[in-house]
Amino acid sequence: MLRNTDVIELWKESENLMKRVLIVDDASFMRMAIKIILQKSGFEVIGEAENGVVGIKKYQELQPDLVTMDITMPEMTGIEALKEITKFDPKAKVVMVSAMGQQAMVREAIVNGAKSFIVKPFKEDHVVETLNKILEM
Amino acid sequence: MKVEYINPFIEAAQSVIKILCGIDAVLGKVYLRSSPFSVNQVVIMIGVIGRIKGQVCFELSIETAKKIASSMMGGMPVAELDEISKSAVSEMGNMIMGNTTTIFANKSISIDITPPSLLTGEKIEISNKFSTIVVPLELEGVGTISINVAVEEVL
Repeated sequence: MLRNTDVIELWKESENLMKRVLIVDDASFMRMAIKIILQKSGFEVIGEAENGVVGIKKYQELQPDLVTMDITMPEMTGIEALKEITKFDPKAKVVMVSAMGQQAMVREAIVNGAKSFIVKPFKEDHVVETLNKILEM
Repeated sequence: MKVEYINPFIEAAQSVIKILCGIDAVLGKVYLRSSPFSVNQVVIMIGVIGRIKGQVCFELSIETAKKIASSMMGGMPVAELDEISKSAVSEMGNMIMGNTTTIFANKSISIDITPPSLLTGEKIEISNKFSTIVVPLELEGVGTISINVAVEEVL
């Protein structure tokens, strides 16, 4: 016999299955690594972008539920792309994933609308937990 | 070049390598190289701007690069240094330099880095504006990564 709470849990899981993610990172290795982690945890990776300019374009096209955004990239940095995406969609859920974890960088990202900040190299569990937390926000 | 400008590179490299490969990177004897100098096989170049500026090159053999890429891909065998393995090794350079900027920031020294470029070939010759400090790191069973730091302080 299913209890109400079980039903809610199941419903939450099925909701999660449909969460659509856009990965923005200039390193093809990093896009692959994040993609594998997310797919294992029931997220759907609907797009990838190799720099900020492509990231913005794909965000507008695909309207994902979540974005993972690198910072150091050619053409346009992740911070610039974050600003543009937030301008386009103030409710956008963007998580920065960067090797540069200094306070000033984190602050700049948060001030410009990032929902969280993951420092590379990261632990798999930490990525999944962070994204799930943001989805509940 | 002050020692305090070299230590953050070593600290960041040791910590990132430990996380990515699960092994200790043991510091070898640091030495100076004058420009130009030849390096072998695989070079990852990352520019530094801000309070210190210049260029950092990570130098390693193809065999070492393949072993690191394999570790980063969860132990998947890497027979050839293909584009995805090159991307993995470049990303290691980016992570080390990103973590270095964080250590500098904690010392109130603000720097930024460029995306990495990876070069492969025999006897690549590098000419730098400044003399280069070479920091060799020995990774047991993997090989040597030499960090070539050619930077100057911006006053």
